[in-house]
This record gives sequence, C-alpha cells and structure tokens, in this order.
Amino acid sequence: MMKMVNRIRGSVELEITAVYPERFLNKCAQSGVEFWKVTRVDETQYRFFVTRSGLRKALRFADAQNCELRVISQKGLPFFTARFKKRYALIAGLVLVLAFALVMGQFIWEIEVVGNESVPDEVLLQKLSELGIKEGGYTGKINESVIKNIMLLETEELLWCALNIQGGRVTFHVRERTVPESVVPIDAPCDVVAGETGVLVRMDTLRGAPMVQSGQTVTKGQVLVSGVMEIKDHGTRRVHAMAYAQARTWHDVTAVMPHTYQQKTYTGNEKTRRAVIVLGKRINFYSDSSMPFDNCDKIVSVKTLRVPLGVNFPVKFVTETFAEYVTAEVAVDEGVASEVLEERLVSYLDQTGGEAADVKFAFENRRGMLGVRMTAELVQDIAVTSYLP
Amino acid sequence: MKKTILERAAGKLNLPADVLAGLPKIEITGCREIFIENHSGILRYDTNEIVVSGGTVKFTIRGDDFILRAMTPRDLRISGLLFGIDLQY
Repeated sequence: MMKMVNRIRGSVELEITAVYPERFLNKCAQSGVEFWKVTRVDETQYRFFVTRSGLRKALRFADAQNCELRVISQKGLPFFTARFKKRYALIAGLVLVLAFALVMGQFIWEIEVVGNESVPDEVLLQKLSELGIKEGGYTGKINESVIKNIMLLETEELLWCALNIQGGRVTFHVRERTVPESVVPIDAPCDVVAGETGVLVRMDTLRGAPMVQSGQTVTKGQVLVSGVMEIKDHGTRRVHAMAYAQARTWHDVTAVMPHTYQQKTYTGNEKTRRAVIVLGKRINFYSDSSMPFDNCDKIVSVKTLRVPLGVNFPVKFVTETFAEYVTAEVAVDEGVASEVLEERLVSYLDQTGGEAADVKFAFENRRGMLGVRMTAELVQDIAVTSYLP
Repeated sequence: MKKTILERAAGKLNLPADVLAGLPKIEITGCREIFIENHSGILRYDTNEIVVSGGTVKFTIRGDDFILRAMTPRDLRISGLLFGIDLQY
C-alpha cells in the first residue's frame, strides 16, 4: 500500500556523505522530514528515500551541517509527468482528443435494438429515426419518456420499452406482446364438413349428430357431423359440432417449368464506388451516380470503423461494386428439372399434413414446358369447421 | 539507577510509564522487526548494530541485515535479524 502511495506522490533516493550521518537523520526526523528504507553504504555514507516535499528540507539541513547530499534517483508519478512538460504537441494532442471525446459524446454513434423477436430491427429503427433517434442525432434533445410513450402507442406489438443513452450509444430495449392462443368458441353452433373428397376411414364424433359412417365416400364440403341435433319431443338444439375424420384422399397435381431459362454470365467488367458515412451523413467519393452498365449486379459492402473495447465509431466505409453481366438463354437439364419439380410436389404434400400411402411421379414434356405429374394417395384429417348462420 | 518524579508518580498511580513519563517503549515482532517509541535519536547505525538513545538509557540492538525502515521524532522502525538488546544506563 505504502509503495503505491509513494509511486503516486513521488519519492527521491538520496545518498548522504558525512562524518556522522546519524546526526543528519536525527535532524531530519526531528524536523518532520519523512524518510524511510535507510541502508548503510559505509561508515560515512547512507542511502535513504524522502518525499518530494522532504527533499528541499533535506538539502537545507545538509548545507547547514556541511554534509554532501546526492540525488540517486527520482521515482513516481510527478517525475513521470514532469517529463512531458515541454512536449507541447503531446499535450495539445491530449487536449484535442479530450475535446473530441467530449463533443462526440453529445451525438449518437450507434443504436442497438434489444429484445425484439417478431418486429424487425429495421421497423423499430425507422420509427426511432422519425423521432430523432438516428446516427448523428444530438443526445441532449432526447426526451426518453416521450419517445418511449410514442413508440408504445405507434407499435402495437410492443408491450414495454426503454431507451438507454450511454454517451453516444443508444440501446432500445423492448418486450413484445404475447398473442393469446385462439380459443375454440364452444358456444358458436357449427357443422363439421369434409375439407377434401375421399373415402372415410375412421370418424370419431365428439359432439353433434354424425351424418356419415366409416367406409362412406364423401365429397368436399359435405356435412360430416351436423351441429343441429334433433331431440325427441323437444325440437332441435344447435351445438358446436366437433369430430376427427380420417379419410383416404387422392391428389393429382402437376408442377411445370419452362424448357429454357436466362443464365447470367459475368463479363469481368467491374466498377467500384466508394463513400463514407459520418454520423449518418453520406459523403460520396464519386460524381456520376447513374448505373455504369445496362445489366449489372450491385454489391454493397459497409464496414464500420471499430475502436478498441468493441465500440463502433460513427464512421462507415461504403464500397459499391457494379459487376456487368450478359444473359443467354440456356436449356434446362431434364434430370435437374425433374428433381426440382419433385421437391416442390413433396413440399405440397407435406403442407396437407396427411400420411402418404402411395405416391407416383411421372415426367412430362408438353407444350414447351417440362412437368412432373404426381399421383398420391393420402390418409389425412379432412374435418373442417363450418359455422352455422 | 534513580527513578524520576514522573516515573515514581506513574508507579504510584498505576499508569503506564511510557505515557506519563515519556519513557521509551520497545516492541519486538518475532525476531525480524523492532518498533521503538519515545526514542531520542540514533547514536550509531550499522547493518549489525544500532545504538538508539532513550533519554536516560542507551539501547544497543545487535543483529544482522538491519535496515531503518522509518523514523519520526517519536517512533523508529527497524527490520533485520535480531540477536539481542543491551541496555546501558
């Protein structure tokens, strides 16, 4: 601890040469000169440490007692900083850096959105930008509670939000509203109808009057379970019909694609443009902003300048590369076309939620189009709720 | 050796003599550190022998590798291997 204190306040190592160096030490002690770590070099020479303030007094006593006092070394922060006293450029640089940090801290460097899942960052950033929270914006003008309230009013999906400003870094924390699961309106009268044409394999009626039986063929839209129940001597009663209806269904679907497609071939001609965005202001290093080629792809790369400790500097380097290409009509390989179309048809089957009992694919080449015809037999739930008027 | 009035008073009143009469007090920690209160200065300083004045008494501290750690008008702290202390009246 004392070592650290001595480093901060500074210490000087002295060497005293006298006939009786003990007398000098006694004089120093009596006069309140703080000294420590006295080591004997020989009978007439001692070395010891004093504070910066004690040095002047020690020199005075040495003169008075006709002793020779020599400074061996000077250690500590005051001596270290004294070295830079005449380095004006360094001091000016330090002042400039501090001034820069002070001024730049008043502007927004980076905005981060945290906690959103369904609402995209871009939507929230756009809304914040409209309220003045954008890169380069002045942080002194931001009224956090007002912005928070406006954001909650304008964005239905948000349940809670908070705006944290730490220097030039703005963090927008959000919590999204959870949508409650749909509840079956059990009081609303309805029928259960067939969603597909097929042969009923099994039907479990939970509520309502069954109108068909297992093994029976049903057409799309046909009532499977009626919500209107007839009660003997009491007329009719309307209920919310519910049932599981598994049926064997047949699907005949064809997916097609053209014989040819436009293939891009890059010519190798490229043009690069550069720009820099400082605090949200874009500075272009080019004059002609039109597209350099008739047919070209634009590849934009944005690199943010990062300073140590992971902080983003409000400077972005933009590189736009335009790559010219020509298009040529190329015939589609039948094997590849067949694979692609079959994949599409399989994904269609997956969407039905049924279990495939038998699936057949047939490749067709007709009227300038390549096609795959799928004949599938599925076992699926065809029960669909149809509300009664 | 004759006691001073203050020493005698401290003895009668059951008070510590170092407080009342300003007598030197030596505190030894293990065999490596000596702390002297109410000293009257160093008379001789060597790596194996230090003579400290205690007013009416002289302390000769014998040992090895002595370093004077700190010194104030009242206190003295010495570190090193201690062999013994002789008192001279």
